[in-house]
Amino acid sequence: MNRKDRAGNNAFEGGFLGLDNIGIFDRSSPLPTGGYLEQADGTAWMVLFCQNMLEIAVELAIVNPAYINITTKFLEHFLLIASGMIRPGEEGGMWDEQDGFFYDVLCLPDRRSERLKVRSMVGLLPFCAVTIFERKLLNKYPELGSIVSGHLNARPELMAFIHDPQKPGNNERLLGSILNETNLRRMLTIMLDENEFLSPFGIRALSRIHKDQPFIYRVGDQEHRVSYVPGEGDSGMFGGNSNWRGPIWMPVNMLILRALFQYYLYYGNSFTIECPTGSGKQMNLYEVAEEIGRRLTNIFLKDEQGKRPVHGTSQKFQEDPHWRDYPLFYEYFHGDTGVGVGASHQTGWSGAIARIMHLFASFEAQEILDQSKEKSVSQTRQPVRKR
Amino acid sequence: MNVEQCRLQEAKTKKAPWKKWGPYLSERQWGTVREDYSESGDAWNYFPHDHARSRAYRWGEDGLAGISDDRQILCFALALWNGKDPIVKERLFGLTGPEGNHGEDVKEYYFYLDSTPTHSYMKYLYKYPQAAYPYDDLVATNRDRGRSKPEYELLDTGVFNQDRYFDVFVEYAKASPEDILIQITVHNRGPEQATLQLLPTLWFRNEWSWGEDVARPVLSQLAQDKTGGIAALSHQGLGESFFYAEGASALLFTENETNTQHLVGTPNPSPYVKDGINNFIIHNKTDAVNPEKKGTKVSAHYPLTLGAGESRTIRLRLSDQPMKDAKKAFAEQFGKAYESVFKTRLQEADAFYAALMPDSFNSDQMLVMRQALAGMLWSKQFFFYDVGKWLKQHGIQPFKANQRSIRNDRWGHMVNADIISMPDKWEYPWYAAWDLAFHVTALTLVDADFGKEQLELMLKSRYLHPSGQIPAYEWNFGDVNPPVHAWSTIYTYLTEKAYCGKGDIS
Repeated sequence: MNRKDRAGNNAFEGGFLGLDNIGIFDRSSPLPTGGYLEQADGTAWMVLFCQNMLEIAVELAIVNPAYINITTKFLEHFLLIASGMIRPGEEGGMWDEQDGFFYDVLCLPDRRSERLKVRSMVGLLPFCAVTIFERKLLNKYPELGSIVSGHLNARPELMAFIHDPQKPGNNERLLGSILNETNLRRMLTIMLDENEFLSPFGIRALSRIHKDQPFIYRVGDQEHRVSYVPGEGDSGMFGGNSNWRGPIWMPVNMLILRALFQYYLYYGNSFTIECPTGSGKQMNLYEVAEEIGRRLTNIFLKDEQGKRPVHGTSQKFQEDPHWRDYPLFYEYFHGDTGVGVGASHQTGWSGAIARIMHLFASFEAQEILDQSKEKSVSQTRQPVRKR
Repeated sequence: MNVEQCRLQEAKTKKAPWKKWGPYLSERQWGTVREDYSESGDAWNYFPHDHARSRAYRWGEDGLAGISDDRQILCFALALWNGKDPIVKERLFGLTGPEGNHGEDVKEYYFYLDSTPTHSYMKYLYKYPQAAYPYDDLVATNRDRGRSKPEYELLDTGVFNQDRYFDVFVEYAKASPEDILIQITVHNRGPEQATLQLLPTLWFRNEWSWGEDVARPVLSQLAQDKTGGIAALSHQGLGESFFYAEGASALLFTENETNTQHLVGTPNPSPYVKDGINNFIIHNKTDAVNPEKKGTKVSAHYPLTLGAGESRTIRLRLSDQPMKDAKKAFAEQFGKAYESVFKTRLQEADAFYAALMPDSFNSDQMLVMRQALAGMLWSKQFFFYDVGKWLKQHGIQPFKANQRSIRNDRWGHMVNADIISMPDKWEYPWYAAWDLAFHVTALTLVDADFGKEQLELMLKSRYLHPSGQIPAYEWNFGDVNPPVHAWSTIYTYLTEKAYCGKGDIS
């Protein structure tokens, strides 16, 4: 598991991790400062991975008790990594209490460390590292409960930060999450701010605040800079083909939707948040997910003027009857306009919009809340038709 | 269950190989790691687009709107010539990574319009300009633009002005798993009469030129008259089958072998090489195609002249069914049944998608979802890469110390030879493990079996590294990607459990 954890402290490195040019440095090369990066995304991916493995183990353990050991292994590992991510009370953890956001930590050769305050998907991924568990597992294997309490009792400082996985929520469900309710609200407020991550077409990979406030880091007389670049990339990192400094990427949006469902299943209808931030509109987390799903889908659908945002300003694609009804599923999309960017036929993960559209049209929020976890990730047997 | 769902079931239980044929042909095999035999590992420049028409591939094939069997023994794709291009359009053109101002980029307009999960019905659209395709302008102008400027696209060049282009729709319908009907409809969208040479092409992947004991398959003409041409196909593994080209003016034969004379100036072992048909059509080199009417690559030749707004449909059939009488073949193969198979398969596709669409969807939502899924299904590709063998061909021996380090040299255990969902069959015609995990969430909407097979495939010992690492992508299988495989697996499991009431623990 911990192949990319040189300090052995459960805070992970990992390199570019699919996010190409998102950071201030090329994360797959040696740093110009020396030292290394503890990556918020790398660590969050590992938390999510542990949770997913735990979910798989739980499904197996319910049928076959031989899997209970592997269940506890991933449960403990999840708690360890979550602890490594926070390092409460210490300077240099990834969480920035003042900003209410996660950042990569630059660990310098002289043992100093500092957070690199780029507001990006890297910091949103810890929000995605969340999973609910149905009560039935603990009923069947009560010893799992004591493992959790044993781990947490030994680390009271951690409990002050992360969500208490022993605290039952909606329908007696349990929640594994790095964020407690206060911090969850703080992150949501940033994510749902249209001046930051919430675009008319989904969640951006980099906050729009870097349009006016680029993040600048100086090493000697060299200046490194991250600005908001919503369309094609302007840097040559990773071939210059893929840009994460502002555009909308379908796969990470999908993980955000998944996370919102998980929180919703736990917190239920009573948890509401202003969406978009500053709009005065309150929504529960299902409605927030639905709103983001609608914005993503709007990339491809005709708007009131009969235009598909994905086609941008191309008159041919917008108006010609032999072109206009052939939406292309690009690699990623412009962070302000939804225009398709990058590979033009990456029906691959952008084609996953089919799943997102199907998901929101196939069930009612209340139904999934009342029923089991399966409903939250998929359609029902007989899809409930929306009125 | 509707008819298409029954076909999926028959494919799963191995009652009928409905998925044996599909859109498994790549859109770009040149410029890939697999074809790279350079010292420097410069895959883009070692095998450029300009070589692709003349040089045989070792690990896969490419073409326009094409299909192949699931071992990619035999391929079919569209080729065409507008009378002005310097080469026959046999494959999509685009800029390489180093050429593009924002990296590699395909410079063509093509659309995946429809597909069922067993590919019993498929539709693709290619837009072909009537003016000369601006190969040089695209390269030069993009080179001169920096990273801060947008990409220079084919529409920007003006070749589509006044709608001077052809819309070429390619449709496939399976009468039975290995009896495939092919219909190509060309529309002249321009204001004037225009000519087009349509060259639907069938060829064998070259497995016989690389020093192994592999029998050369053969395609040969059985009949040719004004009603059209018939070719017989024979391959050890694939058996006998027939290719019918209704109304073709001729069948043009050559070999899928490298034109070494053209590329490196050494004489060709045979006068018939990969670009033989190209040289016949473009340069009128009558000796570039085999007068004996046999080879490993054949194009049916259809010279078309279309008035403004006019359209024409040509019909083909690739069939494993025995032929009784060549004289009556066209009446039999292209009779009323031909039309009715197309009509029925399209209706079945409509029924399949109607069952999938939520009631609340309006027509535009249905259009977007169906084309998204069509693209997912068209992006399947036969991916062939025996890494151990490839490393040996590069002079790297297994278990030998102190060798030079080359790409993927720690992955000698890998044998890729499967149908895999690609991120983009031109731009990224190689699988990427973390992309794949997301693809599966959409693919399982239409084909749960294929989705699950994709997840399992990456964990097979032919793929997974002995250390437990999932292969990232061919540029460097050992790269670290986000670990989303477990998420996709539990997602797929829970989805099926919710849908069927029972999860698939195995």
